[in-house]
Amino acid sequence: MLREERYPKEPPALPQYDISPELKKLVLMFMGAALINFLIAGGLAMGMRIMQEDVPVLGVNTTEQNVLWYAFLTAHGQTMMFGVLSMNTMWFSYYATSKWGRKPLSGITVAKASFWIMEAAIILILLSTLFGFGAGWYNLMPLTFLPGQPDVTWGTGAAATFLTADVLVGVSLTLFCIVIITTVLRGKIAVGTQRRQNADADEVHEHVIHLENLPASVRWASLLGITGWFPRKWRLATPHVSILVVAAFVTAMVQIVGNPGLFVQLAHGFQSIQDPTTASNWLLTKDAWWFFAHPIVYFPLLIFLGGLYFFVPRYGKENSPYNKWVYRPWPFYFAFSVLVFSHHVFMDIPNPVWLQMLSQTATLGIVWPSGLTIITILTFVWRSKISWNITSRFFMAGLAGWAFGGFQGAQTGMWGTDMYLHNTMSIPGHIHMILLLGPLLFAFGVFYAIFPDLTKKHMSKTLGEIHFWMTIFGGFGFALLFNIIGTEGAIRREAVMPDAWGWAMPWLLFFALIVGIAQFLFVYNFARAAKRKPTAEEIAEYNSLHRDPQSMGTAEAA
Amino acid sequence: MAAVNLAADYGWGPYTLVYIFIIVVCVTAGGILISMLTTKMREQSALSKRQYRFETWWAIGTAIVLVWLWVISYNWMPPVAFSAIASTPESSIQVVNVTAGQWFWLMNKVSQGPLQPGNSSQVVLTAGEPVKFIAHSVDVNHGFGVFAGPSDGAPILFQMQVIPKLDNVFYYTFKQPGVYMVRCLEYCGYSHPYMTSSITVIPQVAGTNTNTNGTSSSKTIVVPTSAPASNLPSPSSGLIFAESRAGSHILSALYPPALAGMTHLPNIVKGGLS
Ligand SMILES: [Cu+2]
Repeated sequence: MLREERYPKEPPALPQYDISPELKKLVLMFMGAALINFLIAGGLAMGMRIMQEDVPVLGVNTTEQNVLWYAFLTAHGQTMMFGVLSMNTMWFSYYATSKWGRKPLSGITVAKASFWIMEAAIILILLSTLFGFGAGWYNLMPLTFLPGQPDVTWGTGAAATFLTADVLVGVSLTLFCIVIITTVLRGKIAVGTQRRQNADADEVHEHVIHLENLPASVRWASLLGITGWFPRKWRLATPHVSILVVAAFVTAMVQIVGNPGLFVQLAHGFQSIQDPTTASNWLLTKDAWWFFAHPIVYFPLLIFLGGLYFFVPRYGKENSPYNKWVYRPWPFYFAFSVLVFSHHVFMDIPNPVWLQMLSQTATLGIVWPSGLTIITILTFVWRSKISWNITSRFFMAGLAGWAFGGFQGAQTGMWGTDMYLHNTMSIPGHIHMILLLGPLLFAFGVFYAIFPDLTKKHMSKTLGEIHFWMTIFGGFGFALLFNIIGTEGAIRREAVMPDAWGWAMPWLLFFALIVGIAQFLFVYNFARAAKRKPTAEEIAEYNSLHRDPQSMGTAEAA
Repeated sequence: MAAVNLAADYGWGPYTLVYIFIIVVCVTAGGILISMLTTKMREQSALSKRQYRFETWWAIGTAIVLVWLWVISYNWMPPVAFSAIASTPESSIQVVNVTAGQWFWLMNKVSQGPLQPGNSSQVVLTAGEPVKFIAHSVDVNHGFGVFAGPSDGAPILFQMQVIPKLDNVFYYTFKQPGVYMVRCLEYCGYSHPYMTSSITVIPQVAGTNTNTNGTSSSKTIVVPTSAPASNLPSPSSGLIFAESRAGSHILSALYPPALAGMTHLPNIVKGGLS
């Protein structure tokens, strides 16, 4: 039953360029660490679900159990956000920039440092949990410094540990951004130039160029996808980088703009630890956090949207050499991602009016490129003879989860509806929809697709299918349930759920268990494939896909 | 009267909009997905698909919808919504001071003077007259959430964040007499789930305010339509907070003495109490 089937059935249409063994090892390290973090963070969520079932872990309705619940809540949130979702983005961005840019990563040592620093941060976050730290994943100051009863909850040391972890998160993310941006901007990179062939079809001419040789405006227009909006005549004259390079570049640009928000918040925090009487402007720290934290919510997403744009048409056997709609959303993703921290500050009435207006504009604004992405991907699938392998399954399920979650994002992005949704359970519903059932499913899809390129081996198809269906069933189950009770007025971050929603708790635990069991199957599948030797057939396939590993290969730039 | 149409009483309410969105999502996502995934052509070149110009029409259509949503939302923005109150005479506004702390709510009407030890920490307000809530936090961020009923299970009526050291102001006009649950909507520590209180709204005596349809000046009393009298908390029930359930600190008496003696508060943000 667990025979190694060639999977996906048809070899993935990856560029023939072979990334360095060192980078392959780093990507596998990231994948392994993200998986371990995922199991830990999932275990914390399971603990929360069990406690909300009124299971007396430390005693129902006792301070101790509530403290434990909030400690789990905090660690679950940050470990998922940084140790799983951010790490996924890091490995795929490193891989994609090198693979589709067809060039080695600038600064593999720095990339390795970003891995170790991020993992150290996750360990510190988990350590602070042991001390009872539980100020929420959003580190809502001044709660961070309010230990309450020192004998049952956290002290200054735990808060300092947590803040230090977040400094490391910021450093790791910044190093990541620098590696991606310099890799793209320095040296030669693969580009395609559209060539007018006849009235019906264009072909793409592939070559490598130094981007520095382009005028700055053209270079940036190309990297941010703006060229998609150029009139046809100009488009034909402009070289375009691979959509995956655009995605990685936009991801890095958004995050490097957002990161200072984290550092501003943390600086206020350390200042408050040193001298509590210099109480900060807590509204500013909150705004600063979300200036960082909304980009970090898009951070897990964008590179994988690039993956969808690349893989889905190939599985659907669409051979359009260049599609302007693939590039068109990206300047909007860039601009709105950095402005769209609205959901989080709408209910803060003292915020300035212009900020509230800007936030609503940006939130509704980012729906627009998202909608474009969804329709473009669907046109790839429509009337195509798509091969439903694990990757395309995960991609389409992720597209549905992300689209549904995105609609909910639009609701929270409007003041008049956020009023009824802010801090209700529908927000965890939204976030699990848009992250767990979006980027995480995309990441699983990419994981299965590039695993053979990294290891020359295939993972078991049977286990993969079971992993897929269980994850989808459980994930949509509890995310939808979160939404239903949230709309009814159930508040999020309640260690003890009011009786009015007691009926939902066993169901939430049930769905969460399904998702959890599926991940153990995935880890087993991964570890089993990683350990064994590649078969002769697998080696032959790998070699045929890398006949000319340093060449430009076949047309893949779009 | 214009001032009644403030805050959360505008817009489409908590359920309607959510359900419209859910229906839109299900129908469009389901419809598109089904048509995409079941319709397969034998031969299909990308170029012939292009002539459908999906993206162009979709881009224009969604842009129109989003602009429309922005426009209808404009009136819901707090500064815009609250601006209507400016035309209301100051005397007809009920001003309520709200003090939030770990883990209690204190409320008192400004017209009745400062809260004294032994007084109720809950307010009794009049339906139909605008209320100005001025909320302060003595410690961390809280969320002042008012629900459309006396207990859990009722939808949210309105909410705002209560940020330490700032005046957090919200205008609202209760239309129906009854008991409204207050719940903290921002995680504020391990007894956050128990941080509840309530607001009692009594009927307005018709004719004493501007709320008439102009046809009658008789002094009829509006009968409460929600929350039977037995659900009303006793006026002297005092603080509703966590200590008995979570075993947290003891707030021995009502404030101001209690606030001054709150030893569990660290040496930060003592400001904010007005
Ligand atoms: Cu609170």
